Amino acid sequence: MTRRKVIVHVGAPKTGTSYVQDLLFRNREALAEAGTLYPADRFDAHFLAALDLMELQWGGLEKQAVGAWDRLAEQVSRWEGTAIISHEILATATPAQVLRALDSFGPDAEVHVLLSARDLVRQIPAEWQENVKHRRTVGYREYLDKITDPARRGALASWFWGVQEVPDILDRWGVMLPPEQVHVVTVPPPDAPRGLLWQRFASVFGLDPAAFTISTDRHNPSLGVPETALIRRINERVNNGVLANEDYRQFVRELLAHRNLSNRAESPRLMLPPDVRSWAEKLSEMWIDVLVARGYDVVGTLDDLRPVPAAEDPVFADPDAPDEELVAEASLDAVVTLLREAARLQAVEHGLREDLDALGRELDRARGLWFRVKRRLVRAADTHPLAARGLAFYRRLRGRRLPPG
Amino acid sequence: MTSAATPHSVAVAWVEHLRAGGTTSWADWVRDTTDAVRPVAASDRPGRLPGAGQLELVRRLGLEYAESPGRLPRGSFTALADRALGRSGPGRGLPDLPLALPGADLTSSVGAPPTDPGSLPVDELIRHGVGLLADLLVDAGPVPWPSVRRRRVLARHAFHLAGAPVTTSGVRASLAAAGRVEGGWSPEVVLFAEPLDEHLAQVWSTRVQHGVPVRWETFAGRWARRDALPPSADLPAIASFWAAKVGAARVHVVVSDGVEAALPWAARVVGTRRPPRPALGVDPIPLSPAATDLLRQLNRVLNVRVVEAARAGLVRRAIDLLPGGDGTALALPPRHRDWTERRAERVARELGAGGYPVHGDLARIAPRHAGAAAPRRPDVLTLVLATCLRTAELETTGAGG
Repeated sequence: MTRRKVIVHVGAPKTGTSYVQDLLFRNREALAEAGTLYPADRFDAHFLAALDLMELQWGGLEKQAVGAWDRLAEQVSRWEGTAIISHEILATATPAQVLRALDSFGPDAEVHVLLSARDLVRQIPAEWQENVKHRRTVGYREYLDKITDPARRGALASWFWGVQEVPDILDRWGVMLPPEQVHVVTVPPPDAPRGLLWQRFASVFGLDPAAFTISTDRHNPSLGVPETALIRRINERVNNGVLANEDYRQFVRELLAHRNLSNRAESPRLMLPPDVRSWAEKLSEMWIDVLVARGYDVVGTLDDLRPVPAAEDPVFADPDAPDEELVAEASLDAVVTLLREAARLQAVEHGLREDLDALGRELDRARGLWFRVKRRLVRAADTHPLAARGLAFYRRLRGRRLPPG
Repeated sequence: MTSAATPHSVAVAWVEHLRAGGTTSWADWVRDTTDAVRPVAASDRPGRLPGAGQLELVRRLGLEYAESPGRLPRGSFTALADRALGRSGPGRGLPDLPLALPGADLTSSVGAPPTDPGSLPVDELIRHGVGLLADLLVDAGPVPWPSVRRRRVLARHAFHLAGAPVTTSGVRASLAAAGRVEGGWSPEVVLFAEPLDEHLAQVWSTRVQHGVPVRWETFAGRWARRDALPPSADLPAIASFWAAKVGAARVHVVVSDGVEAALPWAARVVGTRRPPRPALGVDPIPLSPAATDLLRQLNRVLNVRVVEAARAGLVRRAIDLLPGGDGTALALPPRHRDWTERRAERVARELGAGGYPVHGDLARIAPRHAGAAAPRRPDVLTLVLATCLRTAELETTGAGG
């Protein structure tokens, strides 16, 4: 009898996690036929489970997460083959939360932990950009100062290290597992063959990478320097109650950032200033030493965690002092995008109003003349005191109450 | 301490000390034992200790326990301590910080920096404490919110109460206790106006009691930026609505300062011969700023732990277990004070021009700016600790749900 196997992919963000999760979700039926469970009835099922496990508030979404981890674990426990759980915020789980998670799979489960990792020189700017896309207004230099402070004070530094410090994440998640059950998938350099990252994931999942290669449009695209600066300025204007979280998600993050501004590929890209790059290079070397010493299963090569050497004379585009012409161009693109969306929504509204009017006319015809007369009398009571007293008397006779004030 | 003591064994002994209700700080504990401890070796990799936040929370619980020993037996305190040590703080915050062991290399390069628990910010202790409290409440189970007695009311006693929600709730409960139940056709309307900053604080407290996890500063800031008032504080709009229904002469504006001051006016409008005795409101109830902030943070955890219907009952359970507050006033953050003064003037002007009977001085709607501009964190922590101990007592007395 084969042992139940549970693979928990715990991050890190910006390492192809959205792509992998979309691929697994879309193929979940085919995967199940092949003996692998990806237990999700909605795309963000594992995200909700992670919110539940870590008691995390997330702009109101957490109310949909009540009991989500236990439901997920129950599905996993019932499955006889391999089950996969994947979400990048699991990286921040504390030892107590990890213990609860691992216990929830049952004593007979062979648990494997998987962390996908990318070099810090690419991860740090990407993390700041994610912060900006989640309504933060912190500047780039201020962010870098916070995360490079050894004291790691404050929410930004806590979150960054929680989801990006590879050896510590594996220490928390893998401390009770033999090293061969702890897998590090490294993200290949930018010029690597397309599909290589998925091949590495698939080898850990025990899947044939060629069998699950449908195209997916769900990815987490990056923005250029002026576009990120623009979103940060928008945040400064719409935070504090101007735009609700669900509206921000729809219009700023999805519509503007992901679907439009990310297409401006000619803009200068975010990078680390030289001093922070040097710090990140040293830290990467230390992490590689720790990972080698721990003997984890590395899929790819730890060389991938070494930053690609900088160009001879790299030009650092500072998002705290961006080229204002480029920001203005990005702003115009944003205005046009929002105008198109406003026009589209207005067309939808007109259509709905027409439907509503047609339904109202149909209803009136069905109700007949007596209803229309009564309605006219009720409307008259809003302006004529005599009609109002008559209506109040009539309602008292019928035992109806006033609407609450 | 013997010469064989290691930093880890010193820490383990401290943990046992705390579990037994001990209150010595880690710094004092280390100072008393450091001479006997050998330096930590790089090869030392002891089993995991609880995080600094959990350990300091247990020490604070021990201090609270020592100050007001209730009905909680010593063994039950240890069980409570174990629950605190075995869970992490909910939501966002610092990670589980390792204890700064004596002689340890503080420049160790992987993981969060080792920390003296005594140096943790109060907010972190509150976060850990609220997580523990949520666990205890979920185990204790919900209690239903009480409701005001309802009975059919004669038309000549019909009345409707609105305005400052906590004051309104108290007056409603007091009149109900005297047999005057709100409702009925063509009512006399009584609007309770308070100094505007206190009125807004009542609205914030009400929303928190109903499950919203919004901070006071955020709540006040949102309305100030919109230059608008929450519906229950927008007295001109309420008065105008009712005036259109029943006539301005039957919309009474009572400028008051709490239930006791408002009750005689309300009783006169409602037509009771003698003012009833003040009773505690049912929903919402008056809470201190610190107690409201505790509930706010509790909402954040319960929103992801239980469904809405259960959350309300657990919050009610927590309210029942809160130690009595001192009713400290809550002022608006300084940057919003000009705005409230302008808004209060406008409210007074519009009410004055509306032709409504006014009981009291409309000038007293002006904000007082009394009290702190935010709930005091140390007060919140004290409440969390006391409420945890009281909730744990339920298990020993069998009074839980």
